[in-house]
Amino acid sequence: MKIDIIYLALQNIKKRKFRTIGVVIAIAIASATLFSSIILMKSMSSSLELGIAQLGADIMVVPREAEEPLSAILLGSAPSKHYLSRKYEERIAGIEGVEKVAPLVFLETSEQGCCFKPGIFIIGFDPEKDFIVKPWVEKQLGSLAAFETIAGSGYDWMPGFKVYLYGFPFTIAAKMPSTGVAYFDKGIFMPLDRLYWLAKRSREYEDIADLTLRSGQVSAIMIQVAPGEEAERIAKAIEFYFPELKAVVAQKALGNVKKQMLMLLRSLFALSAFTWLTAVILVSVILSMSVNERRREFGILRALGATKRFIFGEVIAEAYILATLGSVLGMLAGYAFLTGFQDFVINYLNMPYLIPNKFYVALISLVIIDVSLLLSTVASFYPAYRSAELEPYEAIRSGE
Amino acid sequence: MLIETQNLTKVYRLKEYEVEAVRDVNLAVAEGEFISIVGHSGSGKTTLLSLIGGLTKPTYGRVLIDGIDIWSLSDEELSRMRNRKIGFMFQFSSLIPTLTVRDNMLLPAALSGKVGSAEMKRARELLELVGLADKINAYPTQLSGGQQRRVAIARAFMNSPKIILADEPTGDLDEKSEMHVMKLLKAMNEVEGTTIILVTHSRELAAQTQRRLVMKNGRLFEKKNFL
Ligand SMILES: Nc1ncnc2c1ncn2[C@@H]1O[C@H](COP(=O)(O)OP(=O)(O)OP(=O)(O)O)[C@@H](O)[C@H]1O
Ligand SMILES: [Mg+2]
Repeated sequence: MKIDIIYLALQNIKKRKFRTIGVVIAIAIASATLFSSIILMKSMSSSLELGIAQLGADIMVVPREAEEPLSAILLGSAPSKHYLSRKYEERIAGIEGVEKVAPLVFLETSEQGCCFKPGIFIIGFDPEKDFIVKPWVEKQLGSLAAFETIAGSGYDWMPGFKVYLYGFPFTIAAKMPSTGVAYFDKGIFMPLDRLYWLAKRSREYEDIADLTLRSGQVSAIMIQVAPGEEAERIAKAIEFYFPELKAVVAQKALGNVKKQMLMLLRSLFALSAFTWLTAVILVSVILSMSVNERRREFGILRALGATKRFIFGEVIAEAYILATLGSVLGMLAGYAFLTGFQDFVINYLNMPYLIPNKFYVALISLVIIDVSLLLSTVASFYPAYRSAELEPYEAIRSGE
Repeated sequence: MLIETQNLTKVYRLKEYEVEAVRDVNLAVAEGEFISIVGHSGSGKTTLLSLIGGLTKPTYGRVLIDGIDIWSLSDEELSRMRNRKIGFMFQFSSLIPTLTVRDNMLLPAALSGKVGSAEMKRARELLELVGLADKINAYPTQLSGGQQRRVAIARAFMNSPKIILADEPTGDLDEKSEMHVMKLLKAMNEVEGTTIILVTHSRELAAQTQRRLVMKNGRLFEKKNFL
């Protein structure tokens, strides 16, 4: 049996439910916002980084008029309908410092027509030259038979399942692991020749939506530079020789995508700073009110022998208990939201999204509990000080 | 002298006027005395008790307990003195509403850092003395006003204080309970040698004490020719 500051604080928390719930909710909301923001940003940035590493290309070459391809590939916006000719492959491969070139086609199945699934990315690759898709595909099985395809991790199709693409059934031969590259995770893969054939047939049949892709056209040529070579210099060289092309350096493009994310991050932090500010003010007001109601109680405690420090400590202890409780609940809610939200983000927003590992989540949780304790000290310091400094006699008289 | 006040004065400065709640009180109480203070409402009785107990700071003058000027002590020391040497019985209900009767009883012990089986036993015995042992797990709101007062009376004895400062402890008790509490105070005074200052409106109760004082407009007079 121990009756100490913590015990008194707990009894008070238990008995004053309305106040407890108010404070806990305010802190929970602030904690949930901060927690979700950090985890969301971290997951996006680490999946972007993972994505670019998985992509394995240093430079992407696309037609001049095409949009910036990297963020589309990583974030999964609609692929460009501007194609370039495969004849560039040889010429780019001839530039000094270029180690490998691989053509890729990115298509998104459209909504019209019958007999196929809309909103799937079809990725065509050249089994001879490819170094982007094949490492993944080969891990799954040696090579693909005709009308076999590999499905991205974003689908729950099991091997053996048939998907209809432009009227033709494709059997899922294997599934890709999660890559963090939106096109890959939501894509299905086939050799370029098969894709050209499919495009041709789509134009022959009346009831199938036309694919504009022509034989010998690709969406992008991916480049791996030789070790020790500067991607930047090679990209400049490509644009110099072929002004009709655009050479995007992956690391640089990633930097740009990250800059955009930083802006988002800033507004998320502004939002969470605002929720914290609101929580601190609210908690401070609630505590002041509650402490005012309890003046008499504090006076009695003082008469029974409680020191000023004891009273101060009790108010702070209550704030700490409520802050910890609120933070933990808020973060649990945030975590549930984020994991529940994961599918939504991946499937509907086409955003890269990998929940960080447990260690990182635990670290962030500790940081947030610290933030919460620190701010609850700020919120409770004045009410605690005022309660401690009350003259016992005045305090006891109040409310008579 | 156990308690000594020297020119003890308390002035409340309000916006328009001043109230001299206690004026130049020189009181000496020896160890083991049982004294009573009567006086009209507003004459300064509660203020005087609060000054003696160190709950409010005098405007002028000193309070000595065991020869020590209590306002020369640090907050820790003064709190410790209140905890160990003084038992307060307030004019109004003074239980902590969020704690059970048992926890309220144990508070003085808890504040001196020791709650063991001896303290639990004492709390139970004291509750038995005021006839409320069966309410040990109740919360104050589940008790009547008079029952709450009796718990507070029992609580004042918890740390076996040398001094009891009782401010109309029987205020809202029926006659039987009043007599019972008075018996308890007398017993503590006689058996444990507790020094008691009792503020009361009741002439009957005052008559049972060894020394009777009267307060008028903040001044304290000895009342020798009473009864
Ligand atoms: N905190 C205060 N501020 C202003 N005036 C006060 C304060 N406390 C007491 N007084 C005044 O001091 C005077 C004495 O008050 P006190 O409470 O000591 O009287 P009392 O004798 O205990 O009265 P009662 O028998 O009604 O309890 C009263 O006039 C009261 O109004
Ligand atoms: Mg009074």
